[in-house]
Amino acid sequence: MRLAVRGILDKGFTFIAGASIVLMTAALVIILGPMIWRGLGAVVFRGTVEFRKLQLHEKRMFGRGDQQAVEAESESTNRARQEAYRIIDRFSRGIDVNSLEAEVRHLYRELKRQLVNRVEAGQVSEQQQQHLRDEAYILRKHLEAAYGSSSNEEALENLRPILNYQHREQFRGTIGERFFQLAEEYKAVVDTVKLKDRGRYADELTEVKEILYKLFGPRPGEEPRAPLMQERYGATRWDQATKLRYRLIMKNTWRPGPTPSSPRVQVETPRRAVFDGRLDGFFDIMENDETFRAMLEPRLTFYWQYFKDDSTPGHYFGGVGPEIIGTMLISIMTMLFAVPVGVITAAYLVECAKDTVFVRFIRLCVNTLAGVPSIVFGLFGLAFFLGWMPDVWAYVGSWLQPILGVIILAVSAGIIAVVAASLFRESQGAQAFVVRITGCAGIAALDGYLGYAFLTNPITMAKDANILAGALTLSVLVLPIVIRSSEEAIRSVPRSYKEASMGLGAGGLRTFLQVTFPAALPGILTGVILSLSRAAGETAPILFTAAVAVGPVPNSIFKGGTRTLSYGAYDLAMNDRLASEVPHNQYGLTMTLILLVLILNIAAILIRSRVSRKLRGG
Amino acid sequence: MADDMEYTKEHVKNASADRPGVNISGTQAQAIAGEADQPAAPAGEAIIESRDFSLFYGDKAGVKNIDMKMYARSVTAIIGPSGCGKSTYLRSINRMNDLVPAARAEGWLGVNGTNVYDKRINLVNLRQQVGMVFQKPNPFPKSIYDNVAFGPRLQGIHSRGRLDEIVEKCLRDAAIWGEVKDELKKSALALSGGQQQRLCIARALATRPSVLLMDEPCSALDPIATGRIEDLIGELKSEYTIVIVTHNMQQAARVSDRTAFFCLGDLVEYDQTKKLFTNPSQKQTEDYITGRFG
Repeated sequence: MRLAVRGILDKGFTFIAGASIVLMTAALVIILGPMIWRGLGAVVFRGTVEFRKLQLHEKRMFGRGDQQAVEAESESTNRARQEAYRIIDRFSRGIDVNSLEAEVRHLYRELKRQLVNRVEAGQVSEQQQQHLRDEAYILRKHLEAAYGSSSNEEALENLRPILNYQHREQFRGTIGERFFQLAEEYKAVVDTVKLKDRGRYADELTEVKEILYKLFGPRPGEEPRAPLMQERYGATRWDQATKLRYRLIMKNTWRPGPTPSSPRVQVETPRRAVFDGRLDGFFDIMENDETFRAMLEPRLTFYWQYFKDDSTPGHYFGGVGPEIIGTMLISIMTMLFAVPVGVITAAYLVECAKDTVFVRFIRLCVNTLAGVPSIVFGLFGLAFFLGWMPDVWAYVGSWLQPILGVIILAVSAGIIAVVAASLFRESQGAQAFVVRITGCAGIAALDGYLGYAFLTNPITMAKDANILAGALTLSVLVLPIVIRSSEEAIRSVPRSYKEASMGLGAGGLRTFLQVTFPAALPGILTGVILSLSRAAGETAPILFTAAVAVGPVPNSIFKGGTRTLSYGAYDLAMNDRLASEVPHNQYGLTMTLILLVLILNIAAILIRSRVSRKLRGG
Repeated sequence: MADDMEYTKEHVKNASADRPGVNISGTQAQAIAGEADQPAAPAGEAIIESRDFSLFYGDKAGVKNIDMKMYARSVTAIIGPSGCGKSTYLRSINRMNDLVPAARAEGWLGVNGTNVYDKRINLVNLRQQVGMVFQKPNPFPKSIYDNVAFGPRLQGIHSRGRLDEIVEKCLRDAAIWGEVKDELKKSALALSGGQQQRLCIARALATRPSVLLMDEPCSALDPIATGRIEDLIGELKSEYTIVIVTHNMQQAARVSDRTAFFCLGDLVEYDQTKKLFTNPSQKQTEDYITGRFG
């Protein structure tokens, strides 16, 4: 009986353990899966002809693609778009009063110039010319009045003198004939459109044109509205295009709620109704999938350069190359600071420190630091690494730097001397000889360069965001993680290793370096992996110290901030109004960050397993 | 043997050349290193000698007032019930007790006539003189080769050829060469327990010690592995002075020339093994070896 109960409990426990693992995995998949899936949309998507134009024409940023193919595509899409533009143009002729009035004014001015030319050529007399000018002026005033009137009757009243004008032959051969054409055209408009509604149509038409501009970009020959890159191209992605088409077809309007006190509700109405059926031809073309496709020619695109390309401000176009470089630079530099300091501290705490008040205080500090919110570190970095340290360095660096340079040069000379001496002291194989010679030369070159750089260029620390400050701040953040995991790893090295090493006559330092540290390395690497991921993903510590939203690819760690993946995602979400138009980039940034951390982790795990396999002798 | 001699001299020279300015006076260095210079020291000469030696852990005495002499090129066994101080005494000989923070020694404990608890002693030289094999096999998580080469490398021997020579000789001496000669690059942790222990012996031999301390070297091994280690001890006797702590009385009787019986930190009896096991002079010894206590 009791055995049976125990069996059931045992099974139950196993089940709970298994279930929790499954739950964890599921949670991970549920959280990361959609992120990665949607982020992949930034890399694999249906790109329109605009995307290919962008990639071809923006030589400085992208400059790739087959010129002839893209031009052919551009031709065919432009042809497909022509009909839509034609309908819109015809409709807007009657609607857009300002442009019509401008045209009339322009026409009158041209006519005057033409007449003056004719007089000089002796074709007409001065008097005739004067007469024609007066007549044209009257025609112009009538047309303008017709354009400006808001009732159909009034407009017709104003058009009538022009349409019934007796002496049309006077203007034969001159530009003045156009007056009568314009009048005819406008009469057609007046016959079909209620001029009362013209203002409303004009507003609606502006909206339609706006969306059309976003869809197709500037028309052939039209100047972009602004020199911004996003004004030069239409929708580059098919999903973007279909979204815009939906906005084109359906109009959002606000209606009062059911009761006077309830909030207004948003309703969608078909936009073709707004134009009272006068633009049905246009909407038919746009709603038809086939013709719409022909206007953009979407094609499945694998944009792997996403991980390499620079982007326009706000990530409207382009990739995340600078972000990846910045993130890696900052993480690696963080590790360069945090790992040596952390491991040495851990070694001290385990191997040397006695249980004194001071050591207990240090332990307390380490444990407390591990729990401090990251924004606190960010503010600390701002005050310390950007506010205080540059001042101190400016004061101390001028004399410390030459000393450091000399020390580096001396150390390199020493290393070279030692290695060179070993070359002659012991008989070695040719391979070892070559290895040492190259090693020697390498160290000499590197150290020489560093020493030279230190001696000649004064290093100044910038007081605004720079990579060095960000990495230092992050290393303070991850230091407790490194210290604690390294401490555990060093502590868990069997005492017998140490005894064996001591028993063979090794001293404390050598025992640590040759026995304890290699044995603890897998554990130390675990901490390094954790802190590397943390450093790559943190936003708050670099918020003030290293990250910028817009800027060039970093080329110095001392000056100028860098874009990073985590800060980019944050900034896009918080500050950029364009973010809603490019959600794929938001997810793309996040996905890249996840992938980067994943790749770093996998690499570190592989290294760790290699190390521990080597230790265990598998 | 001539080769051997040369290598020994060479590496002792290297060892002291490697550490200039050690706080050991010339004569002492001579005394410690002297053994290595005269590997043919006559058997039967006292090499380890303690006079009124006590070792305390804080206030508690681990061993007290030990007077005993151990002789070169012989096997001395130390037996006794648990907690009698036999390991403490053994570890005192190469000062491994220093790892215990509260340990403190009194009296005189000499190796080759030099008090190892002298303040001016060079611990590195001492521990290379007096090698140690531990209760549990504890090879480093390195390759077999690197394990054996660890000691010579400490002494500043880095030449590949010489290291190869030393590694082979030590592995042969420790009777494990035949089993591992093809896989010297393999991790030592992949070996079996008995092989690991023999590797540890080889590692201890690689520093060319004159004394080999063994702290219950077979307690973690099966009977076959134990038998091999015992055979090995018999072989090593011709070159090394061996002190072995064991709580297996049969083992002590099998391998040792002399046996010391410790009880509660005191040396109760110390005599020829044959005599101690057949005709002990102390009542306590007789009670212990006949199994009345312990």
